[in-house]
Amino acid sequence: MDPAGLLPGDVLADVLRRLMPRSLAACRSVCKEWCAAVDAHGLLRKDLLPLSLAGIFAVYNFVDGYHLPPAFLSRPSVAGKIQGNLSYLDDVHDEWSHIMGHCNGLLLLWGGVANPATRQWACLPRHPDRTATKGFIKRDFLAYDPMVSPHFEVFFMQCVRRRSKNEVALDLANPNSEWPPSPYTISAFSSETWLWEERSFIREGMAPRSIDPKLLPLMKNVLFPRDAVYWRGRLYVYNIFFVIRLDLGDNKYRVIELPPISEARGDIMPHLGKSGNGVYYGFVGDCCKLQIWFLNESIDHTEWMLKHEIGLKPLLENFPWEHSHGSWFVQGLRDNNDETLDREKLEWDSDNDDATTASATEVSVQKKFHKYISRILGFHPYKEIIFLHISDTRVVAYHLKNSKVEDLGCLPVDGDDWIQSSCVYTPCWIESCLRANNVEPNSEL
Amino acid sequence: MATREAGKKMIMLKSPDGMEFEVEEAVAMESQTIRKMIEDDCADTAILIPNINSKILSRVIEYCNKHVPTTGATGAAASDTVAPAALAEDLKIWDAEFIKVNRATRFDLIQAASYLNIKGLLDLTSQTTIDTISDNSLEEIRSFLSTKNDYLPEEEQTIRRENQWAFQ
Repeated sequence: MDPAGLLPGDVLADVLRRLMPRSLAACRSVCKEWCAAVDAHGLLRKDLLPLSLAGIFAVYNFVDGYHLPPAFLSRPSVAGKIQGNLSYLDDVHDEWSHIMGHCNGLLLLWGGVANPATRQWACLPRHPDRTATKGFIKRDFLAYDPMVSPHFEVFFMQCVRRRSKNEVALDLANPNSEWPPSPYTISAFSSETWLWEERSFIREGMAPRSIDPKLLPLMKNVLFPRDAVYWRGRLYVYNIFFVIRLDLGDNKYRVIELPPISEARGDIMPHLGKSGNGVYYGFVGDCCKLQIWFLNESIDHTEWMLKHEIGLKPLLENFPWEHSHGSWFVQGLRDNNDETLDREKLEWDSDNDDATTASATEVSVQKKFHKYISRILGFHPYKEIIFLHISDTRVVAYHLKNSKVEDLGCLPVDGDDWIQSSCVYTPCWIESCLRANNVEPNSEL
Repeated sequence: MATREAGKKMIMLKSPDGMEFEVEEAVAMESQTIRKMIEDDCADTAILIPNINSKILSRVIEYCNKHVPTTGATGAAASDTVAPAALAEDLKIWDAEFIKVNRATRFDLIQAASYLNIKGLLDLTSQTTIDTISDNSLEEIRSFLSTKNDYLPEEEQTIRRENQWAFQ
């Protein structure tokens, strides 16, 4: 038996203060006295947790060996509070602001991690072995859940690489090629030890089945996003044909095959993301056909369930392209480094709300473009809404339940560049374990 | 208890049962509560520590003596030869021994650590409780901590709904 049940309120609060938010929430249900201790001392600060949607970060590809800074399209209410323009981090090191992932308010960058809400950042030590096996590419993924731990982890692992237009390096048509192996060894960084260590994961369930050779020609059109989801202690990493689910608690992994892609024409843009109650996978085939699948998981079984299958042609036809401007604000878009763009047109002046993005709309109206869905930008963290990039220009929120469309704003791409990845950003205001400014930056990570 | 050393400022701590403990100021200042009293000049002669009996107070002082930074007052314990990691390991083992106490003593130590505001001691004494709450279901927490669920069913429902976000 534990004495804590008998402690007076103030002392009890002193003890409970040491708990993580999820446990504190459980404490409120124990009994009235405990609920009072948590509430009276303000121990549970829901407002600091990454529960709300602030905006979308869009990461552009390399152009002429140079990385465009990420753009941040945000709700008007957070535009003044969160500095979405990360160029201040480039003062730390060149191209530091390149976003490689997001997890519960933390951004994984080219050489470290940063929290745009608290403006804390830290460089990570460089991992010694960055060379990938032939046919693979090494990528890192972030796992952070301030609800249960103040610490984050980064997993540096091999992913299937698409070698050229019509072949993939991983020969899944060959039944003898079994990848990933078991145990599957991955480099893992923990902010608790501030060290990289090797971790081995044992496979549960089946090895990936060989892919139907007839599917391979279809896959040539799949753009390979750097998508991953961290959900309830598990990291889901997209790998073209399947998702690898790492169970970080008990060092096991499972291969989850993706729903088949049947549309052959045009580029296919898949997206793996999370929303209210789990992991979602969506893709747009044939330019305007959207499918959204939900991953139904039980202890030893996983199954994709088709949630939505929507033809978006009506949306594209009827979209109010002449609408004055979207309701969200853009930060960090092509700042002064890109001389080919007219800054006055694209930059939102934070001191002058009236001048917002009206000029940006001109871009979209002037362009007499082919109407298509260019990318799934992400899922709303808790509503049935998907964010779509349309015709490489406009960003809309599409309500899956009632097909309502909201015009959010404009993230134009120009000439050779395209949006390489995107993340739906949920700010976390907790001062985290980032050892700000005390580790030398390293551009090579 | 502590003996007077040359050049070390000493502080007298009194328990409500009449015992007096002479400790180095640096050791006493491990307690943020006492530190504040000293800094506010409220600690001329002796500080009465209410609600903490001599048995518990002596254990608290024992803890503070061990944990006071070695570069400071307890110069004798500081060592140029022992690596910081080894020192931390040694401290961990010492803590593990220190906390091997019965339930009533742990209860008293938690209260003392809370009142005296000694973060390390409170971390140490409440760790078992923290682990219990973090690792168990609601029913198990209630049974381990001998608390009774005094919510009406509908009240409990409301609380659960309020906390839904934490368990999604």
